[in-house]
Amino acid sequence: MQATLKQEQGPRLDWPLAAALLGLMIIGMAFIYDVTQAQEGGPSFHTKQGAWYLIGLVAAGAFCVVNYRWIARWSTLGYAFGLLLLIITLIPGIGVVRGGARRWIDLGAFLLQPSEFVKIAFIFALAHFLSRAPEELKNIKNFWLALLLAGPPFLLVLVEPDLGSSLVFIPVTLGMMYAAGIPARFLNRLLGWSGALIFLLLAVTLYAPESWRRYVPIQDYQRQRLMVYFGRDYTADLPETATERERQRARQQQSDDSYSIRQTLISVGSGGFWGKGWGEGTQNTLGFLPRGAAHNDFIFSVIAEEIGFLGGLVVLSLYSLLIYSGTRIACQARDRLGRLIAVGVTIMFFSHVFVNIGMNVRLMPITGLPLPLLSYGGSSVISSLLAAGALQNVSIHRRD
Amino acid sequence: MNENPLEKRQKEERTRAWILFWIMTGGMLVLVCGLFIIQIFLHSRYLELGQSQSYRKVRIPAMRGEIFDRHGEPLAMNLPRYDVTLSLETLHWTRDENGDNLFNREYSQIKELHKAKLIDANRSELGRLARYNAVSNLVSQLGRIVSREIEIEPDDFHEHYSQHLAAPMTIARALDPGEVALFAEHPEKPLGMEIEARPYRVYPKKALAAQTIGYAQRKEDPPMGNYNGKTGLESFYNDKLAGEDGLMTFMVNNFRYRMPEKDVAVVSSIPGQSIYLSLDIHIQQAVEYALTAFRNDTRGAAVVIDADTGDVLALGSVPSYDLNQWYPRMSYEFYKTVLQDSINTPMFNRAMNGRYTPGSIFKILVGLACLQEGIDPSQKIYNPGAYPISDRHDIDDTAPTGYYNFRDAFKWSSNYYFIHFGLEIGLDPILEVIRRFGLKEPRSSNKNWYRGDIANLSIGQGAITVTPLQFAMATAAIANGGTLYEPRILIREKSCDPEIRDTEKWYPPVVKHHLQLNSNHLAVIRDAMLADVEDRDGTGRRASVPGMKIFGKTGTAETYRHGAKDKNTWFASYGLYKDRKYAVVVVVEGGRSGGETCAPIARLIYQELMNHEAQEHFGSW
Repeated sequence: MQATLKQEQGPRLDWPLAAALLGLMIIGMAFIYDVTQAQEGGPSFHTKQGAWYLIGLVAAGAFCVVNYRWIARWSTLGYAFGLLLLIITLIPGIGVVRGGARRWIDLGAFLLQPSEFVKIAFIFALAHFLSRAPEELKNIKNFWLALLLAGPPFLLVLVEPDLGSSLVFIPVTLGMMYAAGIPARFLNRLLGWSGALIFLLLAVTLYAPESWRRYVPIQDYQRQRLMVYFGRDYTADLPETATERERQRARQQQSDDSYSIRQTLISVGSGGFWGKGWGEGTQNTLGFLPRGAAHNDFIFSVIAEEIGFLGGLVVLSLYSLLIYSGTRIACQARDRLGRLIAVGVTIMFFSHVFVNIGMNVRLMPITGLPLPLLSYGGSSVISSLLAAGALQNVSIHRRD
Repeated sequence: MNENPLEKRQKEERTRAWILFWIMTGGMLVLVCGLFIIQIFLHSRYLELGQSQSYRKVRIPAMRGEIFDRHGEPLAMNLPRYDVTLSLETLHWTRDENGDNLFNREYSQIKELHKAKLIDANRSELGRLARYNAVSNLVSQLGRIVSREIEIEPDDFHEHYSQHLAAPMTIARALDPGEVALFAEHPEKPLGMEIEARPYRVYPKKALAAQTIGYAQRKEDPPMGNYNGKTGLESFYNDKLAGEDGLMTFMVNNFRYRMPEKDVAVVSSIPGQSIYLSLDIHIQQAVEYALTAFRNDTRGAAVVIDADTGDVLALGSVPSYDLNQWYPRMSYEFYKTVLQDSINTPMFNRAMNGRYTPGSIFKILVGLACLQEGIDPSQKIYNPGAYPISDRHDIDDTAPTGYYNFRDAFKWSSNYYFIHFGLEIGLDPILEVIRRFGLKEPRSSNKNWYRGDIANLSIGQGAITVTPLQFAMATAAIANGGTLYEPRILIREKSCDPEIRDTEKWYPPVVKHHLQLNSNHLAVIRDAMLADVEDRDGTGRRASVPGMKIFGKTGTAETYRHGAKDKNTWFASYGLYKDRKYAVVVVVEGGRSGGETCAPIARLIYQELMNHEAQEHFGSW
């Protein structure tokens, strides 16, 4: 009885989660500083990153004040606003193009990447939609409606193009549906179909002649990454009659395209067990890691090079702690809404971590997906902290 | 127990959340495994890959050893040459306040001009152009400083940029002292430029002993290669002279520019050994002078040996050529007169490598063989003027008809006498003496040795050939009483770095073998050789020098050269002055006769040897 009282009295902030977040932010700061110091002449990213952390923490704090149930009531509006932002992003002249993709809106002070925030709005909207009577969830109509909810953001992000971010919607949606109690037969069918679809997509992308590929909504650079990932020989694309020069060019192209992954693997692999020491990594200092990406999408390869397998384990442990806390919060939540929000956010974190670190160890093809709280970037940091704030919100308001 | 349906459902939902948790945990474990494979299993492979792309090794050239004569007069030496080098990495790393380097600025300027939107291919082309322009501007700036037109070829620059980026690029070569001063005193030196003193090979004695010294060459640019001996002793002793290159390892970035302040390791070079030859340039000069004193188009060779040590004091081969003509690049005239001249062949070392039919000088050895076989030197035989080999073939004798003992036959070079006794003792004793004196054993053009072959061999014709150096060593053995030395050309080596003393090494004379000559036989031969020079009717009388005892034998060998009948004329001799014994062998292609052509050349050489000894220039090692 006393224990319960104590629990009731104390703040219901989830401390392990807070610790995991703090640890990640410290590592993030240390390595953003390290990476950008080595790149002479560049702006000092670490102070900006610090600012993002602060803004994100304040935003997350503000997010916790209001009960998630109240927020969920407005989630449809947030979802609609998110879609609007995504549409605006796609308009040439407003959306900012970087590296061939239109993913950002220029806010003057910084570039906003709406897809990062849309994920959270979507999780709330889907959680809101799925927190209805269990009998209704068994109705296939609601299953389709849930999928319909996921469709627009998924497609809008996909056409930016941002394959990595759009793919995150899939495990989040499936996981939340499963957690909500949607009958397994629906989900199995969905899994089967989407698996077949992905298989077909890959097969056509990698092996079909050019005339077929026109009907597949996939960009050339994405196809190249997939070909590199699956180790497909570029020369196989060439007609039988191709000259030796054309073959050489194809091989050269392949070597160029696999440059990033090669350098990433060299970074990670050369780190070994102990790593080369903080600030001692050469892959970034000497500029072999793509300069524009070393501090965001490839930050993990710098970490793995400098603090080695041991450091990698620490990072993975912190994320595991985050996932564990998220799951625990989900289980402690009093209602399905809170549970689904926690599950969705946790899966979102996991997807980012798995895809980003996976591409550093050649488990995943290269996609531009940031590593939550470690990668540099305002949108990513703030949205990650907001998501973590959502988890804390569920934790704090689990009794009222 | 009846469970509350609400609680039941909540429990089920929790279970589902935990199932999702375990799936995610599985994913995390997969990442750990992936990390383990890349970082632990494949660690060494990726470490190596990383090093191979970020480390570069650059050779530190070793100083090449110099070549001196026995008194330390330089024959091949290194002189500094002042080059201006441009460090592209300095250009790369030097940034202005905007963080741009020279290349970036040039690039933006050109881009301004073009305005058009660039595709990647254009961009890289533009980058190339910008780099070249930037460097070309700097180079012309240098030209204005030193008042000399300096240009840089685009192809040279691009090759250097793509192949040797980490090495400084040579942009001006061989500045004269005035230009060096202009550059050094200029207040604003162009970015990245330095004066570098680089050694280059010089042969101060030019054509003297050129074929023996030989020449060394290197790749000039880019980057500078090591000198490599191509001919002569430069080539033969290249391993000693070259030393060992050092190695510098440093880091480069992804543009292949060297990272400043990140020199990783330096293995210093080991300077080459300087070598001191047995040659004496004063004698060498006298020899080359003597060879051309009577006819300046002489083709021939002369060798002077110190008979007591086997030291090669001079190794003259004419015509010769100036060794410095190889640098910096050969002229057309040089190509025509040195490389293409198949008759004069100035690069050919006649003294060492010329194989000539010895003719009558070979009678020294045949005579020795006859004496060893018990021929009585006082026995007289009649020379009818020609030796009949067969019904249809005679060998003429230039010596007058009459009765000959050994001494007369030798000094008048009677063919009849030596054929007669040569045939009497037979082939084997002659071949034996050839072997023992270190000459190349002749092979009969037929399978068997016929009478005519042996007769020809007895007078140094037919199958036998010798090099002047070989015959000089044989003559030296006669002079010193039967010790056949290896010709000693290298006396001493020591590091060309004066700081290094422990690599000094002396090469003592090497005896090939003791011939065990009977002193009576030797006395007979020497007496005959002395008579050849000192008697008023000796064939070698033109070699005589008052005040010196000279023992000689002339020879005029009939031979074919370039398809026509020709002669090799010889004079093989040794001279005694004070306590020294010199063997001097002279050969001239196409001379009149040994006595008329070669004996006077030998006389000039002996005169110089006498003067030289008198002046005590010539110390003993």
